[in-house]
Amino acid sequence: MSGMKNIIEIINAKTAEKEKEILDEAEAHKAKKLKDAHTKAEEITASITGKAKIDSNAEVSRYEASAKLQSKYKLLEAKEVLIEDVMSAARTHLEDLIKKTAYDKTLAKLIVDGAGSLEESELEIVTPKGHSSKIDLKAVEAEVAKATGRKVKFSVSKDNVRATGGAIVRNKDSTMWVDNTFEARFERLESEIRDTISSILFRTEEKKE
Amino acid sequence: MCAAHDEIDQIHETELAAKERIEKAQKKARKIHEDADEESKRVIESAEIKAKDSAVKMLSEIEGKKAEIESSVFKETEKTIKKMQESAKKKRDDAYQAVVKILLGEA
Repeated sequence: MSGMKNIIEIINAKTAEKEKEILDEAEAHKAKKLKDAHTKAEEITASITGKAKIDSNAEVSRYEASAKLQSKYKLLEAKEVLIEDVMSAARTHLEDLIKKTAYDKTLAKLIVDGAGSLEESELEIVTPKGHSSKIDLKAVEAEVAKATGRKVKFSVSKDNVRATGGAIVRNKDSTMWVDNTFEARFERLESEIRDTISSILFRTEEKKE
Repeated sequence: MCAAHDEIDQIHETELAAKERIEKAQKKARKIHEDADEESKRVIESAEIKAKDSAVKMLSEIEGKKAEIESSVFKETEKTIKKMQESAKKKRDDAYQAVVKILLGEA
């Protein structure tokens, strides 16, 4: 009876051992599986939120750069308005000037200035319609002689130039000329004019920038 | 002879019971495996859903950030422009006189 009892005890003990082994293996598998799942979950979370964060930051950065660029344009537009305002005032000044007696001196000065660049002994003056009467040819010749040391004979052309004021000074065969009409000077000197206006109006702002 | 038979029967019964216990343990182990598979699947799916929600939230917050940037950058620009205009107003006459001088060849 004792021998049989021993056999039964051995069978039960081995069964219990096997049972434990089976269940321990299952629990270990479960623990590993869940650990792996949590690791994978963390990776997925990091991947999705990480990508969203990168996309979000990129979008915000792009928007910020665009907003700064737009601001720069706004600032440039505002400067352009101020520059245009001064240029417009200068144009109005010239339009008003031709109605004043001071214009005669200005016209003579522009003719003398044009003549200075032309190495000719005879020059022709082309003015806007009705302006030729404001020219004192002798005085202009004297001014040119004084300024250049050359004796130049001037004549007034029958042609007219479509301009607000000023004059074209040209040689006899019209192969060389200096266009000193107001419009031409505005066009030719625009860059210098703009630079001058900017340097006066925005001196402080540009230094800060 | 009868006693010996009884012993063999008892051992046999114990063995049968042991087999049943092992089968039961194996069944329980299979269930643990299945549950572990399902739970790990749930953990991953849940994390994915939460992460996607978080991503959607993050992206939806962009509009708010854009509005903040717009307000801050443009406000600053408006301030700069206003200051520049006020400063330029004081110098307008100087600039105008300088331009007239250039145009009339007096500069």
